[in-house]
Amino acid sequence: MVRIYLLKTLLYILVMAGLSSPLYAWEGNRGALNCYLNTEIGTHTRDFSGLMKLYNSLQVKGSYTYNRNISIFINIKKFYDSVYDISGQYRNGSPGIATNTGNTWLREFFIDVERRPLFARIGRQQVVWGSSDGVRALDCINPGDSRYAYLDDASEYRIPLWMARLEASPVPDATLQVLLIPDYEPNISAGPGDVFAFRSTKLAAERIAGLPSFIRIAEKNRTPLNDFQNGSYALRWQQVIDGWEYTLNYKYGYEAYPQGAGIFALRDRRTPTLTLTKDYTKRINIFGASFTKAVTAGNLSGLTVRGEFLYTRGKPFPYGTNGQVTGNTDISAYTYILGLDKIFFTDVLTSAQLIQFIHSRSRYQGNDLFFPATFAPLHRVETMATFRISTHFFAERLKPELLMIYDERSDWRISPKVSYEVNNNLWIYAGLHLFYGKEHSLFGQFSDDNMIYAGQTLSF
Amino acid sequence: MVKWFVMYLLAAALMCAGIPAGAGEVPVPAQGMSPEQIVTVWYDIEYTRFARDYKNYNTFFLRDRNGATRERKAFRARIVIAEPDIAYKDYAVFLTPASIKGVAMLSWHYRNPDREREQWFYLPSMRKARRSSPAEDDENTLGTVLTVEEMTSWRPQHETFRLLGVQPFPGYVSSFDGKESYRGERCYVIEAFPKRKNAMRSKRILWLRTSDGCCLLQEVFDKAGKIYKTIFRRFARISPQEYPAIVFVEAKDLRTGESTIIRCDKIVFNSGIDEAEFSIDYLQRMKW
Repeated sequence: MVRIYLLKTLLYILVMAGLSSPLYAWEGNRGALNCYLNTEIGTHTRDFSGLMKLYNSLQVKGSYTYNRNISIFINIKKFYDSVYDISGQYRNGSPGIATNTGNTWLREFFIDVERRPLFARIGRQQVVWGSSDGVRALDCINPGDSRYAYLDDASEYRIPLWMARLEASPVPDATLQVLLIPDYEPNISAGPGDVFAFRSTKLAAERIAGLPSFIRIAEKNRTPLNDFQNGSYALRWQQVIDGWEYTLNYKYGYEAYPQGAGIFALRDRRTPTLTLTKDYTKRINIFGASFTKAVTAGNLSGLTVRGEFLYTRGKPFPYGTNGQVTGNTDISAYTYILGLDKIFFTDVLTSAQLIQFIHSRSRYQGNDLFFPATFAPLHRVETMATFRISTHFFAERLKPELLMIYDERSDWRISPKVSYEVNNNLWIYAGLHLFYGKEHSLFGQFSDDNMIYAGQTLSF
Repeated sequence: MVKWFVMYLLAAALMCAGIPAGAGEVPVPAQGMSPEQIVTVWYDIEYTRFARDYKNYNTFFLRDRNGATRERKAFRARIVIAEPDIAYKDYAVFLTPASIKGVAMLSWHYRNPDREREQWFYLPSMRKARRSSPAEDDENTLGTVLTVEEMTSWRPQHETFRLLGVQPFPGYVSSFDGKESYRGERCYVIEAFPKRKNAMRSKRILWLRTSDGCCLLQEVFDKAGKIYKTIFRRFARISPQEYPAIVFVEAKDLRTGESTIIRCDKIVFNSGIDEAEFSIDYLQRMKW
């Protein structure tokens, strides 16, 4: 910890001394290397001494262009959240939660090869589909890291995958994209004693803790093999016709949430053992589409309309009663998102979205299907709405923004934030994440975790 | 005879294939032109409509009233399209500082001056090319004191014009580099009145050089008739075509004391840039 602070202080001094150009640039600007240092501290709003986040990260991004057709890019990020080292509510969080999980420190590493009209990006990367903000539906290629409850930037919570992204553009504004993904990574989420633990995680932990102490607990994960035969595949057609941008999407892959099961057995014929299996091998089919259209004439000029639609066949859900899972089944699930964006009063950007998740059924064999994040009974139709407003002052130096998300169980998330550019190399920011609602609701489950935070990002 | 005819046809076809769409002669003001026609010459120069494509590496200096300066480096490219609807496509990306590196904008501009442009942003924090509502014309853009209209969306059809006369330019001393420019050069002095009722300005006065139509200075007046902004431009001829190009812009907001300097570090015309580089898919290939 002390070393990190010393390193950051030294770098800070160097930057303030006038190091404003990229850390390193190859001759002729063929390559560049940039460095980002982020520190963020967050506490409970009801108790400022109750730390929730003490986060430090070092990120290095570099690119090199070999020639007009070939280039490489690398993005490495190491972080450490010291909140789990400090005595208090979260001391001794679940293993690995305080830092990068596995090899996810290698955020991206790929080579681009272009020979028009063909393009290939091969390596570890993120691929983003869809037109929505803040809610993931068609953005289904990369799994997610929800240890911070998806409160951070989307590029940070997506877990990059090794894949080949192949594209062909038969005409200027149309592209066929093919993704071959031999890599599998499950979603990452906080454990039961961690800061933003889902209610479902806590309930499962409580149930295990309630077992007699003589029962041994064993955990087993079943994950797909990392090869092309067991990989995921995806296709997207994207085109712009007369101002209408649309995509048609298909993915054959895996559900990133596991199907949990527990089996009692006598190990060595004498030790009662509960083997908890997390099965990540459930295949799903995703069919999707999206569109955007900007109104360019008439009274509605300046309005942008966007939407995305998703049909998931074979989507697994747990079922049971009173928050206790007794099995898993799969259903068909439909999602649509409609969004409107408009600028008012010259420079106030507003954005609103309506989201509905429609499930083919909400009960199975007399049990409730559960919403995976909360183990609350699933509704046939779940509705959400989002509203975002942002503007800027002092030549885009001061940027306030507000995000509000409403869920139909009368739960809310309200996240105001303000950022300020101190100089070319330093941004500082502060904000709140406020959650309201009942314990079993998506945002209400975090109602004891309202957070006030402040941070700085130093880059050069 | 037939062979010669076929060869002529082939040669003509090859020549036509080599001429980029939209390329043409650089317009210049001529005797007897109306104020609208003179301003249209300037519009063609400002948006390099005589060239097939244009690339520009530039540096923005954003100065506040206390003189504190923030610096941004950017790359901008434009292609004139031979399509019935779209006039040109524009692409810009920030190269420094690291905090905004990779933020990019793609816009398509229609021939119809009353039709709003299409616009997409690439935001590194989302790793996503996102369609956006075009900003309003009077909004300051990119942290500069220049409005969207002054930077991208202005069209001659949006204003009415009145020629005040031909006068020698009084000269302009840059507060950035201290150089005095263009003293005594003869200029058309033209008043431009916005047709838009909700425009923040009452009028602009344009100083357009008689020899080539380049706008040396633009003075912007508020509704009370008080000047509140000046935009000075310096020009150079870019080899090998000797096309005129803006190489320096100094804009001052006289109300706030803020100023913006844009220094063009490298300009290339007709580099053969592919139209595919002005597509959403290309925007989605951003790395940063």
